[in-house]
Amino acid sequence: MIEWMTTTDHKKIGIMYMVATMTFFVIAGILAMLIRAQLARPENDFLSAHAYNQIFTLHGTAMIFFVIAPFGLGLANFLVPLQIGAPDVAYPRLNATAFWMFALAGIVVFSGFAMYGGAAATGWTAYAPLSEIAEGTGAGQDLWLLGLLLASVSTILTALNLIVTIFLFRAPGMTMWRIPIFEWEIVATAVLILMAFPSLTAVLAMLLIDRHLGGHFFDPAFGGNPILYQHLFWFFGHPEVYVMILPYFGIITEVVATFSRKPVFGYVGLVIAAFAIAGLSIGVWAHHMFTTGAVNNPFFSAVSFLIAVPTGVKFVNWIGTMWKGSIEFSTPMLFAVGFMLNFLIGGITGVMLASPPIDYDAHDSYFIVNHFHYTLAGGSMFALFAALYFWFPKMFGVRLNETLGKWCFALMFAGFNVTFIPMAFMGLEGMARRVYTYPNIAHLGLLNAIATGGSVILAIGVMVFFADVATSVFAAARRRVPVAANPWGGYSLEWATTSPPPEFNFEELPPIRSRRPVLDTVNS
Amino acid sequence: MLPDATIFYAPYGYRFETMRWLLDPASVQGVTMRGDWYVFLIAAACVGLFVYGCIFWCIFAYRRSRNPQPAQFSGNKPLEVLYVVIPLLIVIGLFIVTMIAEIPVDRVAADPANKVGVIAFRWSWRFDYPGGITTIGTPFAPPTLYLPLREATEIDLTSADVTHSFWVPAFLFKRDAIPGMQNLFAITPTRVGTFRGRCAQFCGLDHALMTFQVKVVPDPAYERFIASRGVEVP
Amino acid sequence: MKSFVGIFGCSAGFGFVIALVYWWVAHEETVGTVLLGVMTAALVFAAIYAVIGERSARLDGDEPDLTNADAAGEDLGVFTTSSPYPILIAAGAGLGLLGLLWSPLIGIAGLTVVVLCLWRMGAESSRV
Repeated sequence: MIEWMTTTDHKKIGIMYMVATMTFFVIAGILAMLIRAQLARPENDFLSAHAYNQIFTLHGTAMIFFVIAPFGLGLANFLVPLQIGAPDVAYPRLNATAFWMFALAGIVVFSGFAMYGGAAATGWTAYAPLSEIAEGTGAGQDLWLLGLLLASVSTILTALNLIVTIFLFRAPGMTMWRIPIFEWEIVATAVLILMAFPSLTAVLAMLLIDRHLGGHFFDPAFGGNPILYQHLFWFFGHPEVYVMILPYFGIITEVVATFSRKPVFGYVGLVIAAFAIAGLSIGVWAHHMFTTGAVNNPFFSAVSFLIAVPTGVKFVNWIGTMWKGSIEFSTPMLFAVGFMLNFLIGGITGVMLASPPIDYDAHDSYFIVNHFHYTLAGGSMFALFAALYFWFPKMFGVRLNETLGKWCFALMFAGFNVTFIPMAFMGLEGMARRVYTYPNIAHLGLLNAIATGGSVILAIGVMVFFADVATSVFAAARRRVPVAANPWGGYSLEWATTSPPPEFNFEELPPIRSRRPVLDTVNS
Repeated sequence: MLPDATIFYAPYGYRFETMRWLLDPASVQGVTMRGDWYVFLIAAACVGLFVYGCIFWCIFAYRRSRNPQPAQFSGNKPLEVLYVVIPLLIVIGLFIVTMIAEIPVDRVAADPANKVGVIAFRWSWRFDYPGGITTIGTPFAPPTLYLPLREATEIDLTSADVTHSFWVPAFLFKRDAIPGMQNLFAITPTRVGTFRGRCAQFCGLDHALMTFQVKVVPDPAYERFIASRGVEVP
Repeated sequence: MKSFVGIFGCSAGFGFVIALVYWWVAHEETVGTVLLGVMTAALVFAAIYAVIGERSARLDGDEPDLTNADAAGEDLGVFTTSSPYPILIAAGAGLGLLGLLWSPLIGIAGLTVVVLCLWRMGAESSRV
């Protein structure tokens, strides 16, 4: 126990990140089930308005700041030194510090529920002036704010660590053009974090000053401007969603190439696309503000459309990787294909929303909820599970059960789509987001009931995953079957060492002469 | 304790409302935006079907039992250039279509036929008509916004406290109500009837109940309403 | 290392272009221009540092034909396996922030913990 609290080993820290994020995932998932229970029927009274508002706020905050983004960084923590042939990250103690800050931040945010007045209840976006008045004035909102400040510092430190590691600690022969695509995505993610998170720190500090130190940044009665909050928040907020997808693009690339038994198609194109996406994402923030009438819509619309191009390049490269390959549909590959099918829908609705006339109707409706769940849940979450199934043997020396894995995928894919497809129609029928109830008009009752049913299926799928982990671990405890170094036939360096890897990762590094060093050792 | 749906939503004559406003918007600006929607939906369907087709082809044709020996190519320069250029052309086209739709919708005339002031507050609406008529609603008695048929009404939108949003799905349109900021936009209704409106920007506890109705009436009825200082309600 | 220069150099160039375009298109809206401009300044700073650093850098990882035997004996720096300071620093930073909410005394206590830990961490590095 003390060993885990004082470790600076990137592998253990990476595992702790993943355990912590999966814990927050379960909590945020329970919050989501509460939301769906309340919305299952029109004019339901299962939850009060105030309870509901706290629940959706914490659901969003947890999923974004404490699940999807940190899982990517946690996985990077585990994988980056292994994939580049380094013994650890550049600053191991900084790495551990960042993790404990992140864990503490999550506890701080959720402790809002124990406060009189409840947790933060102004949405994960906490727009001012709402977050400065009435139900935004409680201790819950302050704890949310301070927790996120801590989390943002943690994220920036990890980004720094990862950039230095990837640039300076590559093994001999591991040139930048030979590193796995996952590494490049992490570089792009880390640069994006360094460019965007200071804006979050700034806007949270300004909110704090407004709330407790007599500031009036966002209060128009004293010359402040609510739009300023939105600009500063979304200048961080939009790059944040790309921080939440780029590592997962990397995961999908690795999984697809491995299970198609082919090299990555268009390696250079994928690298350029990663940086094009990261760079352009800095310039699109106000597409979240099209309906304010306070921003230059054409500029942001144009740049938002441009982001579709490099994203399309990535998609075609994944298909090119599968093309004429020999594809085995093990669980990680199933999740990767599920990612592609879901993320395409999310991306397409995203291009639609880049057009202000469409956004004028769809903004702040369930159409938007559909869009961002298809990209973040149908996309990133599915890639998250692909990563879990793919690297679990490497991390723990235990294989997960393939049959349970396939059931997990099937239930999650079906459940996810049954939950979120109706939401596009709900939005078009005039249901706004962040509403604790809705009237019995149009087809809203039926659509919501279907969505709630789908969420139950999705939840069962997630439970199957945890059952899979439990049974596999207990089976291994009873009778240990050593797992090979390379159970899937992967190409990158982590598959050249034991499962799990030893203290400083490699007893003996293979020579690195190409993008697939493990293949070279097999063939030599 | 929630109000009965029939109290705060006007009864509807239509049985099937799925995407009805997308098919038949009730304003001139809405019809312009509908064209934008249609172009994008068609483009979305084409791209989606094409990419799904490629993915399913790969799943079917290249599964290990059918294709045990994988090819080993890792790139194709002409193809890679092609699928940068083609999406670029597509999004440029989509941007042009967007601008064609957006510019007339955002345009506000210098001298509008009718002006109404809307102030959003937690959690209902205040409408200020010409001639000093004012209507203020509550979450349990939502106010009605009367608009003259086929006249361009300029709405002067602001908020008294936090950020709200004025959304009428039948017009395919919303605009945020921001404290300290005046938002001007024009609506030209094309059909008589009663339509739902609601707040779309989360504004706290009773955001879900912050609704209103829009009632489009023929021009003479609206003139009488204004002339009688709100006595002769259409 | 050339890629490091490339990434930050191109990013700085891109930031400059987009800040300029944004200013030209929407200069009455200052926040966006300021944010993009400040971000570009940060990138330029990093790019300059990268160019200067690149001149003196010769990484084993950048040599495509280097073998592990050639690179043996290189000092990569300190890699601790465990340290009590990270969790203490995190707790101290958390207390420091929560002091803003509760009382300045707790905040100062937290920051003191952080400073002490950082000081002792330096000693720990030289010991390993």
